[in-house]
Amino acid sequence: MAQAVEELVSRARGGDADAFAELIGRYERSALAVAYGLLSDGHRAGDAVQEAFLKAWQELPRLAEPAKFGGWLLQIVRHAAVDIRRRKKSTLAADFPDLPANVPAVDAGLEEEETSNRVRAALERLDEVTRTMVTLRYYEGLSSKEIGEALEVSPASVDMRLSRARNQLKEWLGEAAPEGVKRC
Amino acid sequence: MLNVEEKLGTLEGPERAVAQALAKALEPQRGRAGAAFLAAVREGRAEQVSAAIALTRATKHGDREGHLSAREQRRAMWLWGGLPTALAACVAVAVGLEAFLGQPGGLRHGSRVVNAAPAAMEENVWTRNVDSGVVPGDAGPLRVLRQQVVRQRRWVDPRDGAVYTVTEPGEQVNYQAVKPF
Repeated sequence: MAQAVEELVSRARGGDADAFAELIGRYERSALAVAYGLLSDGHRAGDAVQEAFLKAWQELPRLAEPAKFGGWLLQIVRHAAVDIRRRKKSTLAADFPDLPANVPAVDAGLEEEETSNRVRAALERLDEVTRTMVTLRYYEGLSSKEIGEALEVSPASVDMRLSRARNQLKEWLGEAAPEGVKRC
Repeated sequence: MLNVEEKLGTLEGPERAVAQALAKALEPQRGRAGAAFLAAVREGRAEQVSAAIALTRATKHGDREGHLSAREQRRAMWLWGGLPTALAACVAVAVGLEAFLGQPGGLRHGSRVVNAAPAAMEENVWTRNVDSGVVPGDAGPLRVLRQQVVRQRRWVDPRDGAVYTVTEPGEQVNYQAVKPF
């Protein structure tokens, strides 16, 4: 039976690393979503989340209310993401996976890769808050209420932003694709 | 089927493309934080702050990290910064009130005679006559003679050996009629 978050946090505050590892497993996706919302880069989001969880472990005794662990953690994730953004310059090339030069490109694989790149480029055009909400919805599958609790905004605001983002993404992803690539 | 579709149902069109792109970007990052944390714990690089020195106060308006909110930090700053000032002001008011209470004219004065006359006093007087020239007068020319005097008294307080010096400069101007040729 899954333990309650409060119990895991209380154990972790006492130095139980396994309890904290369990918390990492539960909150990692949300943390990655929030970090990605700020950084638009999967690798750097992973770096931010890694730093954030370590910091959260170190600062855990300062958390007075275990029930607020989720929001508290995401705050740390945001700070870590901002720090990383300040430290490193964003390079678009980091988003592209390395491909061996002698592997012939398969049309389907190339098309899928191009689609992913276009989607990432479209997501980058969103503002940080909206992008974070989109990521929490379409990566973590959170409801508007859960997204609102994580980001401290009302569910209505979440719905409004997501609706606007959907329309924008449809418009951008429906723009002319580069020659030789089919539209999705 | 994407993992997120278990929660959101089947996605289509741009929504599915977004979900796929996000999964592609972020799924490879899963597990990194957990592995890094456990490695840090094993290597002794992950120590928690001492609960005894953690100063945390959760309030309705506190920030999510459990630290004092910006409002409470400002409040604490005003309290601890203003408290000494307020105390000093209270002391000043109390001293001022004590000085003015019950005294006609508002100023308390206290004195006592500690010694009727100093044991010994030295007095020096310097006198100088200066001819300042002739000026026209109503009845004829007048010579201006200035007598400048400096009187200095010095005495020693036998109680503590302090030397007191009082210097009094003075000038007296005299006019002397000049007989013309």
